[in-house]
Amino acid sequence: MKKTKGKFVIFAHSGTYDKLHQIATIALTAAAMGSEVYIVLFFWALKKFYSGQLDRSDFPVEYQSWSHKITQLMKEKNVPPISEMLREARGMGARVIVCSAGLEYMDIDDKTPKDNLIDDVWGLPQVLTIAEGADTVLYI
Amino acid sequence: MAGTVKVDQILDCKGLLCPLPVIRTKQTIDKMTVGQVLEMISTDPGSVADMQAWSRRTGHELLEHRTENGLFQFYIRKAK
Repeated sequence: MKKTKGKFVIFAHSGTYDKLHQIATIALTAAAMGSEVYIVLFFWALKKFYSGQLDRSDFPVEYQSWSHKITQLMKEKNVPPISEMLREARGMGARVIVCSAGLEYMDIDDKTPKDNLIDDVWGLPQVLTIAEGADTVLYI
Repeated sequence: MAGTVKVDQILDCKGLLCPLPVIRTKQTIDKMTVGQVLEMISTDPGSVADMQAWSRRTGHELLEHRTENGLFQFYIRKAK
């Protein structure tokens, strides 16, 4: 496949606030810089998107002691919520894709997308086809 | 620069953290017409390198930037 200039794919695996924040800011920045951006949701990221609690400030166990302080500082510094940044990224053309198998095995009762942030449901063959021509592929 | 080039719009990004100055700049310049000049003011010290990278990448012309009393001012001409 011909390499596409500026294609940016994020394999989003993690569901804690810190990782999802990284996913949202990187996707938003890449979209603002003109890249064709795809965020593909697997495992815990997928589950969090369907939980309706995307903006909940939950940190990994090893960083729990920092959770309150960092959440407070982010509020003070007016850091936008994850959902808002993703909405803005999608407004610039970024697409949020759900792994079709993950939807089945991640114990998601209500498969109705929350917060209107999902663009499509794909299987791995389509995901890998898109990633094959990408300039940047991140696994977060 | 402001004295020699007509500024069409001013965007105040003071207090915004990375990547928001670049994001707001992109959103604002998208609504402007080709050839118009945007003045963006930021307090984020990363915005000098960020705006240079963004303008190189997007093709919009960064006419000048300057730093004064912790404020970073950018003049960007919309290219396309």
